[in-house]
Amino acid sequence: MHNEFALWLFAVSLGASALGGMLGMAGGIFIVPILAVFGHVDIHVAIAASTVSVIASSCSSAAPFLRGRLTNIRLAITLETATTLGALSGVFLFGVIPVSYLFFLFAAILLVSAQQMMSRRNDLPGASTVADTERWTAALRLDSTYPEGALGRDIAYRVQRLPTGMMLMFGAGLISALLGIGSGVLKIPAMDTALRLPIKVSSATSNFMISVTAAASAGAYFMHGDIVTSVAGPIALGSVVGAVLGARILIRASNASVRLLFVVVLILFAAQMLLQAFGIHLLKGWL
Amino acid sequence: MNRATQGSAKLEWLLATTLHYGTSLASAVIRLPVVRVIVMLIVYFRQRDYRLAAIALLVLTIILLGFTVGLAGSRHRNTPTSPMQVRGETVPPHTMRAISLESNSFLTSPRHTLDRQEAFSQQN
Repeated sequence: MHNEFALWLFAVSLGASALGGMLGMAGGIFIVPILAVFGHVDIHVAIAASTVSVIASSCSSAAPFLRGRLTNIRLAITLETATTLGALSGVFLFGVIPVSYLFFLFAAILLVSAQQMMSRRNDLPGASTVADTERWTAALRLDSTYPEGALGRDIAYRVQRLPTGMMLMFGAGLISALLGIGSGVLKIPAMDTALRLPIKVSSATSNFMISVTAAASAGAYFMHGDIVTSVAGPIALGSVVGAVLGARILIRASNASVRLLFVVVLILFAAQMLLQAFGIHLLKGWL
Repeated sequence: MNRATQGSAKLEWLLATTLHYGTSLASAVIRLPVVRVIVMLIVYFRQRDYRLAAIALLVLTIILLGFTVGLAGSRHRNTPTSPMQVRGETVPPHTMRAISLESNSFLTSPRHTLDRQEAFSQQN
């Protein structure tokens, strides 16, 4: 595997992680289509390598959220039982599901991501309704508070409908293993709607969980030999650098322009993945 | 050896070193979340929060089960055992099958056809 390809992998991973990090996502959602479409890498290898990238991105970006006391660690470890089980189920399906189905599923997830980005989620400080504590959340002491900078004080919140949240997390873990993505695009809305968490807590907790979810499948892929280290190595390096870069760029970029850019990119990737699913290779021979 | 060749050799050495450590990094990266769960398990146990410690242990078990499943799968697979050479690098045969590289791709073409003009002229 010559050095130019390794350099290209590093650059792709750095760019994808930086772009994903700007919107609180791991770079896997960009890395897999780029490797599969432009790098002509088998999608299973791309997915397995992407799980390494997802872990690297998540680990490097989790620290600021933890320091900011936005992450609900107790809830994260509880939900991780479901996500890791889902990921393990995805491992069993990996290689069984036809490649065209994977492309189709990926296109669907990309379109869902684009829709999520287009719908603005505004969380008014102090607007969370505090319901009665549920049995499971009381037993595990999952309710917590988070600091709201706008108000200058901590806001209390309660975790609701934990069983529903666990089922959704199982699905997110399954998708994560099948497609090599972090599934933040599924976890965050699940925490929003099912668990009724404030959006900042949802984002931080989801980011915290991504690494463990991906590790459940990455470990299996690694032992099985599906992770090609000459592909995953440059990708892991690029992801670490890209995640840090993305956070710094985010500070300077305008939210509206970044969102618009990503919606366009996601839709284009979704279209390309759909074409691949139907066996149409528009870009064949271009590179 | 002229300057251009020296510079190229230095870049190749640098990239090779990067790849070497990158390969180690890839395997270490996978273990990092496992370490995180172990830390949580120990902390919750010491805090006598046995419910959360049990949950952390369950998560750890599931992850390790994944490793075991992957290992079991690799032992049962029917693949030839001899490695192959890909552009000077030894690659296991299952990775050769997994990496389907198109010969007309600029990014994956052999070294002597990396020159884009030459690659396009050969195609035409």
